[in-house]
Amino acid sequence: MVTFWEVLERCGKGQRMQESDYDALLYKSVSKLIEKYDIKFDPGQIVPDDDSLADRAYEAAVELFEQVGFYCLDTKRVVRFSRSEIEERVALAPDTYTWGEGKDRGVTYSRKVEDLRDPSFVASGLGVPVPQDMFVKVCQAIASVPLADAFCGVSLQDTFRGIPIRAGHPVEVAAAIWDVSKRREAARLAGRPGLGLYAMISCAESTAAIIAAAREQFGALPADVTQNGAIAELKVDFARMNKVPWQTESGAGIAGLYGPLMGGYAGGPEGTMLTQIAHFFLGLFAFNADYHIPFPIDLHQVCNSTSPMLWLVSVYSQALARNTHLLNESVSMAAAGPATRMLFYELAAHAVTATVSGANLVAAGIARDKYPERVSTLEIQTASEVGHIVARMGMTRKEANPLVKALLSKYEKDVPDAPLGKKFSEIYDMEKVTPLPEYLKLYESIREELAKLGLNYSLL
Amino acid sequence: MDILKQMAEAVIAGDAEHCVSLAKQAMENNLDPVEVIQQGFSKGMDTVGGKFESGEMFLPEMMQAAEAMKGGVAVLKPAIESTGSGSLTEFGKAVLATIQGDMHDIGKNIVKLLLSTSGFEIIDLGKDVKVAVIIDKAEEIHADVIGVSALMTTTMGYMPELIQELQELGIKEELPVMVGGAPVTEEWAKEIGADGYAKDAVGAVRTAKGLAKK
Ligand code: B12
Repeated sequence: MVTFWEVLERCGKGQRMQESDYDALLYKSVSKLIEKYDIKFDPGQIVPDDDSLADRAYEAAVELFEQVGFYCLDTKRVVRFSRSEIEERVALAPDTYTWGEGKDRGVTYSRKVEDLRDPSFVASGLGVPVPQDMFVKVCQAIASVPLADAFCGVSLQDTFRGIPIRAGHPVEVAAAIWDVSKRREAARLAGRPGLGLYAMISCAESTAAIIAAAREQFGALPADVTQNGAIAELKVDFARMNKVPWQTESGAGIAGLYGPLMGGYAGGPEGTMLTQIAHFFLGLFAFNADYHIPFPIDLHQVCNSTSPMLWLVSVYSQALARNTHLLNESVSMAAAGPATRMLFYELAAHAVTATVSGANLVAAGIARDKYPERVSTLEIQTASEVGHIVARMGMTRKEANPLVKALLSKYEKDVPDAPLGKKFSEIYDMEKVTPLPEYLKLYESIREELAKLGLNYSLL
Repeated sequence: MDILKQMAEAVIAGDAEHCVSLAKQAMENNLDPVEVIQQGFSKGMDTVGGKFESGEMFLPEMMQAAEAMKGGVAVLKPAIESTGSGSLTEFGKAVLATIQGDMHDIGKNIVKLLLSTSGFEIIDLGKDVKVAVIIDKAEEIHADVIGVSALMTTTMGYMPELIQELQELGIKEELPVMVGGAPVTEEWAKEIGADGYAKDAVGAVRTAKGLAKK
C-alpha cells in the first residue's frame, strides 16, 4: 500500500506546475471524462435508479484521479497514483468507525444503496458562529438530538478573553482548549457524557490548536475525531497534512473534509460529482482518513439542496456505495434559516436522497452556514428521523425520486432569496434549553406533512 | 453584426482565435484600440460576469473567456502603446490577497478574474497572506487599491489590523482598501474603516474602479 510517507516523498517529486494550470488541467480532464462515460444530469431523475450510471461515475472518478491526482501547494507538484494503487488503498480503508464511549457510543459503517440499515447520524451546528455566553447551551441542544450517534457543536464567535480569535494567533489555541472542554460539558448536560465528537474543534483549525486541545484532560475522548480539510479542488498543503503523523501515532480519528463547489473549477454538477469522489481518494492518501465528510455546495447559493446538487449527492454516494466500502458522511447544507418550513424541507430532501443512495447523514449547514446564531435543532432532528424511516421502510431510489421532487417543489424556487429565519435564542427557552412551544408546533406540523407524503413515522 | 458586437460574442464564447482575428481586423480598419477594448471585448466580459453570477456560466468558462479576451487585447497592445492613446490598465494596480490564516481563495480568484479584464493590473499575493506582506507590496508598487478577502470569523479580525497598520504608517489615504468575503458585511466594513466593500465580484469591479479613480 502507498503509505503516507510515500505520499510525502511524491509531494516532492511529482510534475511541477502552476496552481492555475492545475485548475485548467482538472477542468479539461473532467470535461473529457463526463463525455467518455456519458454522465449527464437529468432534472427528472434527482435520485437516479440507474446502477450503470453510478458505476460509470465511479470508473470515471478513478480515471480522473489517475490523471490529476492532487496538487501540493507547498511544492507546486501534482501527486499521482496508479489505478492499482488507488484500488489497493480503497480496499484497505476502514469500513466502520466508532464514536464516543460507553452507552453513548455510536457507530458509523459503510452502507449500500437502498440499505435497510439505519444511516448513522451526526447532529451538527457546523461552523455557525455563536457568542461565548451561549456556546454551551447551543452545543447541549445539539447533543440532545435523540438519534444522534455523534455531535459537533458550533463555532466560537469573535473574541475569547476579550481578544479577537484569529487563525494562527495564540488566542486560537486558548479558545480551542476552552471549546473542547465546553463541548464535553455540553454532552454531559445533555445526559450523554460519552457522546463522541465527530469533528473536535470548530473555531480552530491550526495544527497547534488542535493538538493542544485534543487531550482527555480537557474533555476529549480517545476516539474523538480531528479533521483535515482539502482545499478545493483537489489541493492539499503541509499546514493541513502536518496533523497526520500526530493523528496516526496518537490514534486520533481522522476525518477528511471536502467541499467541492459546483460552478467552480470542476464545472457543472457532473464534473463536480466526479471531483467529489476523487476527493475521497485524496483523503485516503494525503490524510490517512478513517472516514469522509463531503459537503459539495453550489458556489453561488452555498447550499446543496437544489436539484442539481441533490442529484450530485445521490450519484456520488451510489457510486461509492456500489464500488467501495468507504465511509461517506454526507453533509446537508441548507439555504434557509432556523424555524422556517423551508429549512425542514431542505433537510428532509437531503436525508431521503442521501439515505437511499447509501450515505450516512450529517446535518446541517443552516442559512448558508455563515450567520451568527442561525442554528437550530428540530430541523436536524427531522433529518435524522427521515433518514431512519426511509431506511426502515426499505424505500427504493424509484420511490425516493418523486418524494424528493415533491419536497423540491415546495422550496427550490425560493433558494436564491431563502429566509434567514430566527436566531437560536428566539426559538429556545434559554433557561431550560428546550424548544419554545411555537417552534415545537412547527416541527409537529411538518411531521404531519411528511407523513402525508408517505413517511411512516410509526417505524421510529 | 458590427465588429464590436462580434468581439463581445467571441469573448462570451471563449473563442481566443476569433478574438485575435477580430482584433487584427479592427487594426486593419484603423479603429481606436482603446475604444475597441472598452466597447467590444469588455462588453463581452461584462456579460460573462453577469452570467457567472447568475449561475449560467461556470468558473472555467469565465476563465476561458478572460483568456480569450487577453489574446485579443495582446494584438491591440502595441498600437495602444505606440499611439499613447490610453492605457490598458487605466485604473492602475490592484493588490489582492486572501488574508492571513485563511485558505479560502475561490471568491478572491473570481474577483481577480473580473478586475483583470476591467482595466486593472493585478498583483495577486495568493492566500493566507500576512498583513505586513500586503502592506509592503502595496507600498512598494504604489497600488491604486488593495482588495482583501476573508471567509472566516477567525480571519476577518486581521482586516481591521491591516487598516490600523496603514493608518499608523500614515499611508491609509494613498492606499484605499476594499474588503469582501462571505462573513464580511457592508456595516462591518464601514465600522473598521475600510474604504470599500462589495458582496460579489461584479460589485467588486465597481467598487475598485471608484476607489482607484480617487
Ligand atoms: C468552500 C468552503 C471551503 C473550501 C474552500 C475552497 C477554496 N479553495 O477556497 C475548503 C473545503 C478548503 C474549506 C476549508 C475550511 N473551511 Co470553509 N467554507 C467553504 C464555504 C462552504 C464556501 C466558501 C466559498 O468558496 N464560497 C463561494 C465563493 C465564490 O464565495 P465568497 O468566497 O464569499 O466570494 C464572493 C464574495 O464574498 C465576494 N468576495 C470575496 N472576496 C472578496 C474580496 C473583495 C475585496 C471583495 C470586494 C469581494 C469579495 O466575491 C466573491 C464572488 O462573488 C464556506 C461557507 C460560506 N457560507 O462561505 C465555508 C467556511 C468559510 N469554512 C469554514 C471553515 C471552518 C473551514 C475550515 C477551518 C474547516 C476545517 N476544519 O478544515 C477550513 C479552513 C481552512 C483555512 N485555514 O482557511 C467556516 C468558517 C467558520 C468561521 N469561523 O467563520 C465556514 C463559514 C463554514 C462553516 N460555517 O463552518 N472551506
